[in-house]
Amino acid sequence: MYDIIYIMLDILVFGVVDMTSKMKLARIEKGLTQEQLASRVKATRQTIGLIEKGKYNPSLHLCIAIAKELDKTLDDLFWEGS
Amino acid sequence: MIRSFLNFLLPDDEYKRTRIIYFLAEAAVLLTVILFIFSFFSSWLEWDIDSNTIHPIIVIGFISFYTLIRYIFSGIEFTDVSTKEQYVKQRRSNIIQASSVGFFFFIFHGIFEGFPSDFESAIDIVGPTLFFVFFYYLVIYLSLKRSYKKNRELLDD
Repeated sequence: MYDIIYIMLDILVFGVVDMTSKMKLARIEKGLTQEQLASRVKATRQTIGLIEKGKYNPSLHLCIAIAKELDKTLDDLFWEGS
Repeated sequence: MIRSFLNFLLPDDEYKRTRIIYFLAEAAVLLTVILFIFSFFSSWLEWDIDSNTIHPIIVIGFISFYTLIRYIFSGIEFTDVSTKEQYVKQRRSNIIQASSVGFFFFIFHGIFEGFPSDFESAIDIVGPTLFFVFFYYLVIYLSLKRSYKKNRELLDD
């Protein structure tokens, strides 16, 4: 719950949602923890955390797997400013 | 996935896999530079170094040691340890793991070198075993510590 509030504050303050926040927001909306998403896309929780913090650029293969699990398109999750 | 004979040695997680490939590549490049410098000095300065000086063990040792050190300090081994409870549980499991590995080390050492019949030969086997267990535990302890720190930073806010 607090995550969504913080992300909404980011949107209000900075105007746009950055790529990594969008993925985190989508995951929270879907009701998944980092660990649950990680096991569904055959990655580790650490990798999901790194992607969400913008410290690792995932491969297209992993991006697609994440987008499918979160019922989003690649644009929804990884395209800046949309 | 890129087809390579290395695939069977690498983990499934792509972040971990990429990092390990980088560590191996860094070790290979550093080793090339070191060997180049070494051969430059030995030929241009006419050092009297015979070809056996660069023993294969040094080459293998450098690659293994460098990769291990980078792996430990990158904090990518224990990817799911992010709470205090998980950390304490993993630390306990590390102690059991180090003791078990030490036990097998003792057995294998005994098989190849012979089991001790007196106090002195017992020390010859127990000493290296204790040193091995200590070093093994130190490696996984440092790795756990780094992983825990990294995972805490990445935890859901």
